Amino acid sequence: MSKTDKILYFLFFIAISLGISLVYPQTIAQMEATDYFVWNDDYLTMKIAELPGITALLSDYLLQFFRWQGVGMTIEAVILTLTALLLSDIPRRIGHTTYRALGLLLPVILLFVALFQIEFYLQILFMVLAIWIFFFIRQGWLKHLYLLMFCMSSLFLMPWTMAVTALLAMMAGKILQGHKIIVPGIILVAGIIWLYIEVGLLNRLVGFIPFDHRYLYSPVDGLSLWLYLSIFVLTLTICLIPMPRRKWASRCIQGAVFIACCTDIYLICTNPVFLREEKGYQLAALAENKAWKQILETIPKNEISSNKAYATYALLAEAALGTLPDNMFNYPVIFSENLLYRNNSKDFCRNFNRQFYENIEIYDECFRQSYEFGIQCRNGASFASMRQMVKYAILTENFPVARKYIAKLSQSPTHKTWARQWTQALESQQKRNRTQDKPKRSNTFLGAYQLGVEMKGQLEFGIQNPLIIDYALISFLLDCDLDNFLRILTTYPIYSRHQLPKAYAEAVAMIVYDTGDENIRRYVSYSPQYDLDFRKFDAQYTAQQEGREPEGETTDFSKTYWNYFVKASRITPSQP
Amino acid sequence: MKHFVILCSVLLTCCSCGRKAPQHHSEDLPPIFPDYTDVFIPANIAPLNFGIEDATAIQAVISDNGTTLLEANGKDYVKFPPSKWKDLLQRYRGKEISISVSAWSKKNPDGIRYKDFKIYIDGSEIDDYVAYRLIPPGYIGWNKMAIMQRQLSSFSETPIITNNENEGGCINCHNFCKGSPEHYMLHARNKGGGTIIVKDGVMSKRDIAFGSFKATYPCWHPDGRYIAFSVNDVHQSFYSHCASKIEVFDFSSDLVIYDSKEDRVIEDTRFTDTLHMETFPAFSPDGKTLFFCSAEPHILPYEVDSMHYSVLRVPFDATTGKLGTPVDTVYNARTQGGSASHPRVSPDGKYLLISRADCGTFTIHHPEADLILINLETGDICKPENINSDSAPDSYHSWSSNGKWVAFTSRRTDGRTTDLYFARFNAGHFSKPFLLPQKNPYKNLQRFFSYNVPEFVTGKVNTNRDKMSQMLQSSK
Repeated sequence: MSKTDKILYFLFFIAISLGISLVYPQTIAQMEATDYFVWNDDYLTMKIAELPGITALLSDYLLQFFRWQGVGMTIEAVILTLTALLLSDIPRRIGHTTYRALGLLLPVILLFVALFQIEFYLQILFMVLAIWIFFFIRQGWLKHLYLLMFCMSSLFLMPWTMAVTALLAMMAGKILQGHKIIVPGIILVAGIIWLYIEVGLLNRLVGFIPFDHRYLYSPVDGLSLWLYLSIFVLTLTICLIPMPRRKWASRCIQGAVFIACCTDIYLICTNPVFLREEKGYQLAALAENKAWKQILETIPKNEISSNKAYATYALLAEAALGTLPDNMFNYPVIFSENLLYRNNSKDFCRNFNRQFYENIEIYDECFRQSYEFGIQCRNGASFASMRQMVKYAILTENFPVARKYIAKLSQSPTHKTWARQWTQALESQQKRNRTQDKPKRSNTFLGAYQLGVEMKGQLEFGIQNPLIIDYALISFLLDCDLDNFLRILTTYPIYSRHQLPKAYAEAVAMIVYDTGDENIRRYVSYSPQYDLDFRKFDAQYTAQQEGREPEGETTDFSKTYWNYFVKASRITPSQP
Repeated sequence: MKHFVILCSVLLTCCSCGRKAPQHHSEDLPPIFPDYTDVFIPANIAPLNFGIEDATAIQAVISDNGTTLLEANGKDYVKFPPSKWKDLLQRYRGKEISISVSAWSKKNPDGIRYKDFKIYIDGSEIDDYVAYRLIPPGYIGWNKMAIMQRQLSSFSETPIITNNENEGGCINCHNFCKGSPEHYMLHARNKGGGTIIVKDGVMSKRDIAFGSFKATYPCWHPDGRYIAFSVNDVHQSFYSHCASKIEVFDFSSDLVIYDSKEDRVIEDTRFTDTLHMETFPAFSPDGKTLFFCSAEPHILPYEVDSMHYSVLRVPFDATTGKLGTPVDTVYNARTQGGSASHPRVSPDGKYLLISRADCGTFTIHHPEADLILINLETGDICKPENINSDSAPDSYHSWSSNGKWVAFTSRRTDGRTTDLYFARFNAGHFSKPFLLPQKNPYKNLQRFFSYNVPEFVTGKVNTNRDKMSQMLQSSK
């Protein structure tokens, strides 16, 4: 390997391990969050049955270390660089010359078409390694023994298509080495027949293999079978065909590979879809740390109306800061259910819902959302969901459950210290001996009603968290349910000593004006300016409805509750 | 070389010495998991391996009047050799054996010998297989699930079907006709889903629905032609700040009979109106009576506390597939309290086992749920204290084909995961239940899954999973 090739490989390694981890730290952390690995009968049986099972298992094992982004990306860089190195060394093993820089083509393409797909990378590494070992072995009898072993075990390491490709490459190499076509041809046909039969055998003996995951399929979602196959055919052909060494050609190839690497990394680091996803995870991480102000600073204001994730996190931050009733109608929310992701089971949505309920200290629902988050993950459980479930099980004094999940997580090598710390937390919480008898059931249902009624149920149960009161008030305003809004406002007088925040004041001013009932003023106070403004709004709106010019200067009421109300309820404010 | 010889000698000496005898004695029963102390077991059950938390070494000696019959040693749990265990059970069928347990731990480095306990080997056997669904102990979502079968005389657990065969869709409500492995049904909910019916080993897919809802909870008629179904519109809601976490309820539920020979649903308007909700049908072993649960509807989930299901019975005519008169009340929730679920009649037809909670229909999510035994001859109702747990739900029970054993599920281990227990039944009395034996006894604690709807099966179910999968993925 020339010095320039070595530099090229080194730069590729650094670009992945450092470059990508700096641009996508939260996306990488999410890989660990949705992963799960433990030495447990059920888990191991399930993974081995998932052909190629050993690779699936190894992938899960390695993903644990993505908890630390740098370590994770170093692992990814090692896998890809090793794949490139082995691939570029195969022609030498066959006895031909070629250009070592070409080995990088395969990982560069892989990064582009399947970013962060560790399991897929491992499958390819095993395929390349299998071909490399075949040519590394010198003795004929050992080669045949190795081929036999490869045929027996390859489906545990790589998909059927890769095993066949590897076999094809091995036999092609044999022919390139000067062997007659007949023996490699027979071995190839026999190997393919065996691999075909083996899938059926494994389906019977190890576990059911879905029909669309037996022979010709792409192991990566979203990557078409033909593109996937052509990647291998193209890169293996380019790397394996003998090429005479010429200095100028070497420089050209190194330059082209360098440009391809740079373009690849650039496209990955500026991909708008990946960046938006990263931003979402970043907001989730900030919410986890209760960095509410930072959330509001981070969210691009001009994208709030087009991105629900931004809007929901901004509203969550406003609620936590106590500014939601003032700023609610600056946001494009049109229904109380839009404050969270009620019927969306995507992991991002489940995680948001958990943070939403954690903010209002409803830990039973946090536990459920954590569970649902985990169940959507590849293995039906995940490290992040289990860590969260332990926390909420302790907070809800469900100690046996907390103990069970700690025990499960303690089996992971990356959670030894974590398990110790949380065992201590559990024990100290248990020692407090505050356990109170909980009612078996009460009308504290979550997910059964609209958000306002749900929050009202919590208040009636006795959970009088000011945030819950705000959510109830806001939800009733959003749903144009002014009866319930007034009921909550007067029953839970958290604003009796303060001026009402903007949204509430606007709603009360509108109610007072429309009903003429001044009783409400005994419970709340707000600036008289709202009454004046509402009159102006009403006049402006009436004029607009009648198709005439309003008297005097027009005022922008677009960010008021009145504007929301008339749009949402499609009735005039004078006829509520 | 000299050093090597010394090292070998030291190692050999260490090995030959073994562990010292326990230095302490305790008058307490050993804190073993699972608790197998003083249980009755069937004569064909797999070895009752057990462990002690934090133990570094355990020794278990099975003896009879001072004669050692079997000995097992282990680190934190002991495993009895299956063949020797089997011989032992056959030799001591109908007798008792005594087990002495000694354990060494960091707390007790010199070892402690606990008070001996007994295991009573019943003269009867238990059905060789039990089928159950393994599902995550959760709420709405699922990822992996499977209907499994476990051979009770060994540790072999194999799938009947997993949701891989159903493209990840839900599979549920397996039911066997008189415990036959060749005559059963299950539902698969997916694009090409439906009800898989296997009769004499021949598999077919049916679309059994009534109104806009699919057939839900089943029970085969013993003749193997009819299946009683309840057709439920099932929903879930979640509690906060309560002991219960989930409420599963029906917005509507009706009772219908399905004729598998003619592929038709037989409706009886008495059981399909909106005045009552009917659910959980169960035929008597002679097939002449259909038991089911019934309640007046309420606004749910708000009024779930008012939902009280009674158990009713109605005559069934197997020649016409029709339900007759009178409709009789077996358990009256209004006067006898609570709410009944899952009626199951004993094979001799004398007893009815139900699970009862304070309210609602899905008892497995109610911490107060208990199993209740009703003597159908005298009408006597009793709550067998020794099989019920204080604060965890006990539910989903099934009778063995000889009526000597019941399987049921309970969340007594951690309050969240449902485990599988067995208890002997003799003349209206249950013995202390025991947890499903596992090769590694801690497997029950480590499982990702809950045991759901255990049903005894008299033999191994042999499924062509490829064929079943093809059937479930086809639109026909």
